[in-house]
Amino acid sequence: MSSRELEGQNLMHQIELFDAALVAGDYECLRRCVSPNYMMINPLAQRLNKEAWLGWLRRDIRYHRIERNQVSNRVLGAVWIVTSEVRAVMSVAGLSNGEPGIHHTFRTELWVISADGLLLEHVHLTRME
Amino acid sequence: MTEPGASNQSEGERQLRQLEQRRSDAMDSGDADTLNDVYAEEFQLVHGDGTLDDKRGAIEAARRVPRRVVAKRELSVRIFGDTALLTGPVGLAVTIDAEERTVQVYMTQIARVIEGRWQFIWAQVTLRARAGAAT
Repeated sequence: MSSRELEGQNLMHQIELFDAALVAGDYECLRRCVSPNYMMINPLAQRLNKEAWLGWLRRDIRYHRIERNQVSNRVLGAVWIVTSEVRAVMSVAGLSNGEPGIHHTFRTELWVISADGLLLEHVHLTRME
Repeated sequence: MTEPGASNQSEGERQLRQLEQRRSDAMDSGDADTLNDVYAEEFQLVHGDGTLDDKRGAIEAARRVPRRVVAKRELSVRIFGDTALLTGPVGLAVTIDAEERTVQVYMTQIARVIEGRWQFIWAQVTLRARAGAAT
């Protein structure tokens, strides 16, 4: 196995770890998974930096299940690009009484710098209408 | 960074901002030739409804649904070697069924150095919040 293939395996493991931390509400793990420069574009088209994103998760969002399909990853020099279709079952503060009643499908893009501990740099979510 | 004819990071950023301006102007004027030039062959676009288009589809969509930028874009540029991330909100006037509507979107674009020059390989759009929308 080439070093790139090994890095790819590590990358997919990191994504699984990230999804598991989202479902578990493990904010310390999430904090470690993302870069200090992390930026997320959420489905409301709000730009969130690392602390804002963690606050948003703690305050408003609870993931119950995440399924990731059609995962594609490419290495582009110092950066991995991962795109996937994500089906998420979640509850949102103020909606569904905290029950896992909201199902969303997203197209997601992840950015990871392989040279820096596979930290997540950028996520952009677009909901499938 | 890997040199696309750029001597440093700020030169790369200048080239990327110029690339985005060319793309934006081409969208405004329906200039398919310029879009064909700024989009790499591998280009893919995620529209605001989550559908995916390839290069040909993206150019056809621009022709089919005319749009123009109505507010100067706040653009953030980050460069990772020969790959770059461009992000920022943009206001667009979109003509659908002969009716012009203004929409606010957030756009992420990825550009790479291909054969010595920057080209877009990916763009993804999310529409600004609508009433009743959640996460």
